[in-house]
Amino acid sequence: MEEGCRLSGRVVAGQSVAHQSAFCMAVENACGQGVEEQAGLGRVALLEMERVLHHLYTLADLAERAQAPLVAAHCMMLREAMLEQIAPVTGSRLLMDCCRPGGVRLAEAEPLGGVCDSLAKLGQAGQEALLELWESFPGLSARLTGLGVTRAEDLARVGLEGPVARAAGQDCDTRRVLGLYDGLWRYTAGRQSGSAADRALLLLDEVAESLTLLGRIAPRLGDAAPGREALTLPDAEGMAMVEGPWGRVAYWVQLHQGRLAQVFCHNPAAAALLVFEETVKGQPVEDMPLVASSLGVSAAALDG
Amino acid sequence: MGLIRAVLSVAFRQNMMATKPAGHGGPLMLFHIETGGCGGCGMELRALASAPYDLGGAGFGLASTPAGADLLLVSGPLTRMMAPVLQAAWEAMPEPKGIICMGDCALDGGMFGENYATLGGLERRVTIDLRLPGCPPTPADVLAGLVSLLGSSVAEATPPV
Repeated sequence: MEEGCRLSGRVVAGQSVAHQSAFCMAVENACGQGVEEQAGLGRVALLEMERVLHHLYTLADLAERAQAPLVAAHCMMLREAMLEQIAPVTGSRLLMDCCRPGGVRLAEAEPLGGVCDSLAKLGQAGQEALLELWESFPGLSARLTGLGVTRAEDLARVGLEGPVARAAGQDCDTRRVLGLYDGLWRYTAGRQSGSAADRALLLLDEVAESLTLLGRIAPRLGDAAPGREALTLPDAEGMAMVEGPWGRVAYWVQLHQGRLAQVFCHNPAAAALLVFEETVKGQPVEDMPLVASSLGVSAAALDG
Repeated sequence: MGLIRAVLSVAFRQNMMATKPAGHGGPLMLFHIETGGCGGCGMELRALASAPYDLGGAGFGLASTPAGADLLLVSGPLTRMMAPVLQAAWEAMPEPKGIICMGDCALDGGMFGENYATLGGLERRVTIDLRLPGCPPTPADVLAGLVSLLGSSVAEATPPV
């Protein structure tokens, strides 16, 4: 079980919390056991931290490829400033192995509430400056506007959700139906023309939204350390899903004789590749890496 | 005004993490190749190549082609699909050259081991000039490891695979 959980966190880096949370929740559903409230909130905090770090990394990649290295440097500097606070608590810069079946396991669990509060304050100032820089940097918006426009029918045909679909006007977010987010999440209204520029600005919006959410979680987490409960493993099946940085991540598990017998994982990588293939038709070859980056096409995720 | 502030804050940023090498001429060029896995080592390498780290200041650069590289930096378990790509990259590099393995997967296959899709790591296959263990190693660990290379010459390595 531990090995399965570790492996789920390494399907694709930058989305480890999403994969491990969904895996753990699927196991807990199979067991018919939930986790304590603090552990559930801890998972939400980790999911949102991961989203912020992932989006900043993606924005840096986009800016670099769009010949805006100054903007990329700012994205990475903000990300590193946040990681300075996150890494000592989680024990991993990529937030790997923080979610375990039955709860969460952190290097230092007590300061999690304080870190959420601090990240919200640090990040909101940084995000506003970044947004201003993104919109004013010479040529950046022009480079991305009209690039890699996704069509609603392509997105619907392959079932791609997440920020790519939200930037094309679709209202789809797994957080809406997850009880973990009750009273915390509100819908992010993004740009809706479906181009790389819309996707970039939506990611910036989502960074702000996640930071607001972290600020709301902080007082509820307080100084209490989220823990972990022992699970009794019956012969059963379970499934669960969460909203990862690029969309829905779902796991189905089958337990047999106290062991993990089978696992099925769904992530948006394959659908993103199919949309990419449609989107790049007629685009200049030199734009392909930029379009791929803005759609979240990942060889690692496809491998997984 | 925002743009000027942004330029200044990068140009005069505090807490630079550069480590200046002693007595080394041009930068050692690294060609990074990801042979499989989760991509975490690639993300950490990307972080190292960005602010506030200073890979260039430490005497290293990232080459865009193997022909311009001094060292082959491998991350991820060696998948069967990527083995010929790794071989081709190695053969395209000029002499003298060396191999750096970044992360547990590149060393011994890590979590992925040896199976129908992956050949494991490079540990028992080639002579490795620098081992950077971890899952993944942090940018600071990688930088410290790279700087340690500058104290001695890169040993002659045997071709991979």
